[in-house]
Amino acid sequence: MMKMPEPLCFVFCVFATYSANLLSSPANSAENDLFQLSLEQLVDINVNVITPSKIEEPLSQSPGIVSVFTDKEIALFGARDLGEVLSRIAGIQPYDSLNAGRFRLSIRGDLATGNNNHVLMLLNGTPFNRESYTGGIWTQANILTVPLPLIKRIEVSRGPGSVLYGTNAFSGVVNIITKESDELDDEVTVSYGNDNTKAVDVSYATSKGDLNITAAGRYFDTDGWDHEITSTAGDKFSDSAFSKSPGFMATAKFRDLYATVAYGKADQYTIRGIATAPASGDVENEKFFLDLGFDHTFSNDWQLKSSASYVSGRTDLKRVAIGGGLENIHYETDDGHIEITGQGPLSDNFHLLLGSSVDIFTGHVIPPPGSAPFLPDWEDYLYGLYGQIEYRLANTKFTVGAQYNKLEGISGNIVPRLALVHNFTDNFGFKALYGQAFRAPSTIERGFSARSGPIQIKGDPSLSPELVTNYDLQIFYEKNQLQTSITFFKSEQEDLITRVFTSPTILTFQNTGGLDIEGVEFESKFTFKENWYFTGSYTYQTNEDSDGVKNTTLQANTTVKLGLAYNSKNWSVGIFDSYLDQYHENTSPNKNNPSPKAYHDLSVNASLTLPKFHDITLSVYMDNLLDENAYLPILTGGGPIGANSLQTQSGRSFFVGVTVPF
Amino acid sequence: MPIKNKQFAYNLLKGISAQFKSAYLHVAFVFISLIIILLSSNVAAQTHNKDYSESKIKTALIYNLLHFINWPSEELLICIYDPGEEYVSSFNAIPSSTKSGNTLSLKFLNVSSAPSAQNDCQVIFISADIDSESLQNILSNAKNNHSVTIGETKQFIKQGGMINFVRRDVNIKFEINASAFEQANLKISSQVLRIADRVYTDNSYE
Repeated sequence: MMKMPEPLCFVFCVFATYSANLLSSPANSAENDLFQLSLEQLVDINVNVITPSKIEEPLSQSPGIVSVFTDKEIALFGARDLGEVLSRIAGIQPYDSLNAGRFRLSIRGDLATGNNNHVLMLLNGTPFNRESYTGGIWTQANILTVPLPLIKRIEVSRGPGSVLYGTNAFSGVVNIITKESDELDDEVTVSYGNDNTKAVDVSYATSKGDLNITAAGRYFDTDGWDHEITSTAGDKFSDSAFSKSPGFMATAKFRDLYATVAYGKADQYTIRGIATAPASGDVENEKFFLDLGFDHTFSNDWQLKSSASYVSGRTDLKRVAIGGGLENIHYETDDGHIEITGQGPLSDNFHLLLGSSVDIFTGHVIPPPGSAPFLPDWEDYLYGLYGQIEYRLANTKFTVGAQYNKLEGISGNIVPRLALVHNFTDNFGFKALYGQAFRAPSTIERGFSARSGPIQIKGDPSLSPELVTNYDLQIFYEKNQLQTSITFFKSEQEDLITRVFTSPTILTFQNTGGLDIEGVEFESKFTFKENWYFTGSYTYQTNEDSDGVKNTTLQANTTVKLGLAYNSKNWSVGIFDSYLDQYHENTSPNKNNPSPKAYHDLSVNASLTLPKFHDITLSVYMDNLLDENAYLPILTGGGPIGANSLQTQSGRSFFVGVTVPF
Repeated sequence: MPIKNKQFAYNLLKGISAQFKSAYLHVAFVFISLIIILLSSNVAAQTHNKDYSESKIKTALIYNLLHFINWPSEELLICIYDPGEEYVSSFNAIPSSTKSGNTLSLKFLNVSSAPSAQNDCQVIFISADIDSESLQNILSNAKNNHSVTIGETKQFIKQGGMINFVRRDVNIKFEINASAFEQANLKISSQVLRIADRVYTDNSYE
């Protein structure tokens, strides 16, 4: 797996080109005159990230392509749930189709299959959305129930993350960082919007001695917007896309010990049925997350972190019994993750990180009443050993790392990473990255066995992990309140697990798929005239599978996201527009529904704090101001309902709220 | 739909057990753990490369903050209690006048300095190294002299301090005790209050 493909040359060329310069480069002066900077510039002098190296470091020096979305940006631009927040971040797009498996996450246009297992979500660095059935198909509870007031920032690292985070960190990593107790306000927010949408958010923090606790909860309930679909027979079917999603999250820290607990249940409308008879259904996805850990920094700057975490998933596919025999299915996953990481300086120039992890995947499926089990109970183990070393020479940082991983029952493999980050000046530099990531085969792909009519569908226990090889070249410029970068990327996916007919009546899972994605990203953030804030990104991607089919992931080629906000002491207004080029059509012969078209999702958020009334804050959030009808193609050729597209969001909507501190 | 915690605990124990049954993984796990622990305890202390030290940023913040306070006098004396070497170096680099044109001078003090030594200080910075009792005494004297007090400890505002530095990851932010400014008959710009990480009024810090 550690072959050196041709495109790697560009990384080595860059290494070679600059190694000569390195020796003659003057040392980083760092003699900036801080006294010339403004207060605002000083308090935000470092934009730091933790995801690329598991240690806080300035964004400009991190060996990763990372976008950071902070609590301030969430407050300025507003959002009803984490999905809306993520949709504003460069390079990431929630793919919320009304059929099963809602809220898939796509980074850089990658959504090779419907199983949603190429983006790893982390909560404070610990895997948050893994589920061993398919590896991530049901993330509704993760997306819809995280209390937004508790989020300090979200880091989206685009490109492979498996060297440090293991399986599923394939096309990207989303790391949710929560607030400390002294950063969280005690407050309650009550909101109401159209479609009888009701929401309550409560956040509370307390400290006693060395014990610091944060807690936040949310309840969200909407009757939902109306949608309509036309079946292959030409019949109209309509219903409301209701959603109900209570959630709770809390952290406790006592000296070096910490505990994080999260619970959420997302009950969402889905469209079910078969091609000739669509029907209403819903998916109830429940997640429980617990992370217990020890995080200690020694006097010599070495850090030791160990954690044991547990993610439980309970999902009910509530179907309507119709001609196709669709009945309820209940899925249970209980997945554990144990990890120990140590890192610190070996000398002035060398920094070493070593780690070890084990994942324990267990679960079982209760098939529809009267049906034979299609998947035996499972208990699998995934081991990982990883290391990374960073070497700094003058204005350049080299990073070399690798992970050895092994899923029980199949042979182990190694994924490497190489990174070069060079600063031409204090403000201007580039990153050249090469890395691989893997996605371990999931339980369904290894153990599934069922008959559908005359066809026998079979898993394969000897499947290999999916593999991606990725190249990034970024040029960045950061000065005072301006951050801007342009990134060129190319990823080559291989051994993708797809279903293949090995005989006219046998359909098996095999490592036969391949996908190449390449593109460019431009991102900029800028604070000007003290009160104004601008953020913007442009992403272009194009992809082609191993059969030469272009844009096979159906994702939009071009995405533009622009936000502008004015922030005064007691009030703020933010306007955000996400433009998506049209999604590509699927292969469904049913063309009775509107074809996906390019659309703008324009939103406005305004808030006003009243100091004379106990700092009560009034807010109004309006989404889809242009009242655009946005349609998504259904993946895998239309699925059981056989349609070409489904509506993905409501028309123009509003949401007003009152926040009361206590 | 109850979560089966007992079942999970059982599975977890089985998982750990299974891991250690696997000989080569056992060896690798222990080997890595040993290396981590050995390195953690034996490697000589090294410092990270930092573009800006904490003391330099805080000094620059103090310099900036002075510009936003309405001073009754043209000359300002900044007194620094218990500075380490880094603070001495950082403060010595401060320009000779504020952005508003007030003349700046410095005086380094320690806990054994006579209380009267702070009488002529318009600004007092108290480092985190100082003990709680001495801090209380300095703040008490400063209140009588209408001096602006700046600190860097968790309880600083609660003890009556006026500006407190707090670390937010790799950045340094500041909190403002607006009531203390009012009591000292000093006005601080609303621009500062907007940038502040937190503004305390009346007894909101209780």
